[in-house]
Amino acid sequence: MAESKRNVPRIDFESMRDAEAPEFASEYAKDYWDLVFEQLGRRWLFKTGVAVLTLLYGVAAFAPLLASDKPVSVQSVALGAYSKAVRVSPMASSALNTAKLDEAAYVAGLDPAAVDAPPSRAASVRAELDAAQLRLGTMRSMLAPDAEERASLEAFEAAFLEGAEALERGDGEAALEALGRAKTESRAIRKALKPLDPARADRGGVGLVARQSQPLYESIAAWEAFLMALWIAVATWPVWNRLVNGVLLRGNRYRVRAARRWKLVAVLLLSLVCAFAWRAHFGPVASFDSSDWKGGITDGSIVLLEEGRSTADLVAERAESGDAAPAGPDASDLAVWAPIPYGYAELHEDEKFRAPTWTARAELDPETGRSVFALASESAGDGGAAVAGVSAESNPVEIRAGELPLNHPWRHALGTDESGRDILTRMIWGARISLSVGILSAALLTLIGVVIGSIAGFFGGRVDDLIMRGIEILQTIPALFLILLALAFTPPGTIPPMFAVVIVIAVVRWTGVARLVRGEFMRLRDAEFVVAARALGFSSRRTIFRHVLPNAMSPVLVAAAFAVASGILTESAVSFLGLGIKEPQASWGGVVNESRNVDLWWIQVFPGLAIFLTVTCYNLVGDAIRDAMDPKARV
Amino acid sequence: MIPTTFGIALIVFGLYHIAPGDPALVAMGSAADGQGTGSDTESKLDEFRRKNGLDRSFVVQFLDYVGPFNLGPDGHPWFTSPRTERRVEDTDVPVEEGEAPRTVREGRPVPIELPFGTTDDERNALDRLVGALGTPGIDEGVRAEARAELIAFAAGSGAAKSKALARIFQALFENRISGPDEVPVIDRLAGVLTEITGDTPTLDAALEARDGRRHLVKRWFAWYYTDGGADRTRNTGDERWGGVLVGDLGRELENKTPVAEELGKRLKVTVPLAAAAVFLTYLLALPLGIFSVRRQGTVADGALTLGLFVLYSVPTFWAGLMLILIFGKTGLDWLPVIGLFDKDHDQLTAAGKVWDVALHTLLPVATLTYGGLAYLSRQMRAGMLDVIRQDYIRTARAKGLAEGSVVYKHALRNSMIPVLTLLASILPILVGGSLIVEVVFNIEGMGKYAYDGLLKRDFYIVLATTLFVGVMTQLGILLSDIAYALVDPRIRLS
Repeated sequence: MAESKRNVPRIDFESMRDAEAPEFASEYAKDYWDLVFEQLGRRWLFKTGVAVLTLLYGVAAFAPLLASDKPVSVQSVALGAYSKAVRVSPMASSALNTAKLDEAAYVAGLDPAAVDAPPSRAASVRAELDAAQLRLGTMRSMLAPDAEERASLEAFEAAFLEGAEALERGDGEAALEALGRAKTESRAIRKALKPLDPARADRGGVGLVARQSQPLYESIAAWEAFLMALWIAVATWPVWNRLVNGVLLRGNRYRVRAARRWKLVAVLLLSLVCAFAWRAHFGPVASFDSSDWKGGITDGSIVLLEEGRSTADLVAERAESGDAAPAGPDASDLAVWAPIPYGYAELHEDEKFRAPTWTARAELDPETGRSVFALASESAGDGGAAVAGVSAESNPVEIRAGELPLNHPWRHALGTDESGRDILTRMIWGARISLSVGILSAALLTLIGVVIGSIAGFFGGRVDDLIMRGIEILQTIPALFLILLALAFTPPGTIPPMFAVVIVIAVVRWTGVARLVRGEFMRLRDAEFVVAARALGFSSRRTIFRHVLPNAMSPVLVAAAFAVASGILTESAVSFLGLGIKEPQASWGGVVNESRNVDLWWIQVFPGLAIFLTVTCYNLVGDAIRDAMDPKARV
Repeated sequence: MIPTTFGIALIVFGLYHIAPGDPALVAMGSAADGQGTGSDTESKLDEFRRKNGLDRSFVVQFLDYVGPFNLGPDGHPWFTSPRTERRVEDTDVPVEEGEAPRTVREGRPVPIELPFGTTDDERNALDRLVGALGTPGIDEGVRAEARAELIAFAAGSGAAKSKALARIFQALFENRISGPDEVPVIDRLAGVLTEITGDTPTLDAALEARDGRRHLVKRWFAWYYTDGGADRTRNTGDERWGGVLVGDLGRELENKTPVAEELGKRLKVTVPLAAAAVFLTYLLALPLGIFSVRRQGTVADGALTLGLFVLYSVPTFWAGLMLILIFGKTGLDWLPVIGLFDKDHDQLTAAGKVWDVALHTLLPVATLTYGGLAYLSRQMRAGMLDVIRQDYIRTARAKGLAEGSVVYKHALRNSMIPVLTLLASILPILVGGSLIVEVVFNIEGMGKYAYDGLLKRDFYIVLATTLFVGVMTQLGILLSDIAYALVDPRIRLS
């Protein structure tokens, strides 16, 4: 049993290995964990459960790569961004106006409420210059490297800079003169550097050069990369573990046992390295990224174009072929999208409450973009049309860049919700929250339970009495009630809802683990090895942490596996009741909460199935671990 | 049991107060979602706190809730609270011949106490400032300074304002009793009041002529009791008893109906549902457990065990929704899915009514039952397998008893003991489940009541339901202890 792994007498196995045949190692030297793993390996339900869970965690870890409204890689010209950047004259004229003011008048005119307003004229002009330089940077990056127009940008910047410097020196006259020049220059820029829009080539303008970018990768943070790498390392464990054990460690059981810890460290280190590498390559994630790639490409403010070519080339080519359609490679090849091209909070109001697109009910008329079935349900009366999805009154549904055709069976494989968000996407992203709530709450409640349980069990007496009374009181209140109550009375915005749910679940549910640990402590308190530890004069800290706790951990591990399952169940119930994770964030229970209308069955069925599957797998795994760790108590 | 109930109340009360954020703000948030900003919200919050006694200390609020004495806003029960009454009365104005009789609202001056939670420093500061205003013969410069300081003090926050007002009205009261009619002190105080509150009570010329400055004082007190928000009377002893201990669970924040009354109404729905679910759980779990032990190791046993295991993992809310989908309008259309009665329930015959309710309760009870059933039959199976490995069973078999006799007489009775104690752990599952089931099936029971209370952030509903559930769970534990003692003669309650 559990004690044995600590009390194996020290034998010099290394020397024995050389003397004995290798069978010795494989036959007689199994330790507790070897036995546990062997037991687990025999259970197909356990293996299936672990496989499904691994898959689900993979989906959660790779959610951004699976479903996102950002292209993976795109070669394009951002016409819209350039048109915005070309307007540098507001900065110049605002700087000029500031320079015209008296310093005292400027300071008097400051709004006392605006804390971060520039304190002086010079600082204000400097801020304008920074803003203008940002726009200049955008323009320079898009203009052809040999474009003559670049000269006017240089002139503008030089004049602006001269004005700002003059103002800092206190030379008002020179500043006014230089900023005046900058203003004139900025007007010229706006006229001369107008972008050439291929859709309206007759208006003329400057050709812009396409660049390649990877918006999706840039939106993935280092911690996400860490989890992805960790998942890959864990999921491929059966493969590399066998290789490492067989080739590197030559199947020697003692070496394998010694290497367990190092394998864990290596996996974590490797994932950390991956995360750092990711961060180094793609840079930090912009905190607020509002760029709407799909909308932009659809309405023409982002033009797809091979890298290095300019819009001028495109227009010339079209003129040559005398055709409005773009010649050359199909424009859709230039943007690569995620397999499911929707964001988890990407709205598409026109397509709200659309049934899964493989059902007949979801069919849209490709001409009008409206539901074929809306009319039928309207004639049926009873307001069914109001919820039956894309109705005849709503705007026609349009296909945005990267999306599948209107009636493609996989366009919205699991339907859409009240704001036209794709349910499958929300479930993929919801897996992140639901699964992490399960793991985190189980970890936290185990920690709390172990600490309090060990205190009660080790000290006994008054402390024990007090803690046990507290536990009794807590256990008398149904956990769901207490959790809902705590969440309802925590005002939104104090902590992220996910962590609120985790903390509340842990704070309410630790009692079971604490009782377990306390029971184990009571049992082990008079065990021989603990008495021996005491007799050897070890401190109570050493006795607890080195001798008692490790042996009390196996029932706790089992309880933790079940706690993950119940954490996921609780989170889904709480979110379903509208008190947990709220929109726009997605969690499985929260998606179900979006509608309880029986006509919108897809909103209720699929997320529930996901919860059910996950919880079943966790329970199977927990059950198998319990049986494997304690064969006597097998149910 | 009573200490445990007390502990539950303390925990829930504590959660309500310790949870990050102001309870008043949370409760207001649902009532008036983000209406008004800045000082407007602040004054509304103050009013809300005063109205619901949230401006008192945690201990006072808790003792007030628990009872048995009703505590006043000053934190006193009736027997320690000074008996004073604040009254607003309509005074008849002495009118000339031919004029229509009219009345003017006047307040009866009483000694005012500073609000709960005034610190000694604040008390001293207010005494000094108001004293400087009131005492005759003080240098005018000092007086003006004190006046400005007092106004600044009152402008600090809602709480500071009510403290300053209370102190000024205290001074007004004292001068009404001791001072001569025409003391300028009252005018000075009234001036400060106007500055602080922005209000000036209109004076009636006739009454002023009769009562002099006294009229001004009474008008200000009338303002204080009504517009000034100090309309809460002291603990007069009219309602001496209150709180949980005498069965008073408070009133709902929104429509002021007594929570205990409403809870009683809801329990008539929830308790039968839960009882039916418990009954069904035991009724089904026993044969299932016995079946799977007798067929131990066969495919049927394996399938049953796995099936129950899977059933155990189904989220309650989802099971309810799926049952609605399958049996409701959109699916087979066999059963009604919403509420407990049909619309035309009243016109049905007695038998029709029973049938109607039975049809309506079928799905909710099924949803309530399956979770407990899966749990219980698993435990039942484990318990019986444990017993069947015992020596006395082997003995029974060895002496040639029929298998049925072995299972029912020897194994079943002994394995019932742990299963009976599980009643205590099934009850909380049921109660938690009943909340979700009642929300999903739209049944006006206790669970739905608690949920609505949570959504409205109505503390009284939430605390009452939680307390009740806690008491029920303890009763369940007690019941299973008694059952344990009845079944197992070895156990003696000492």
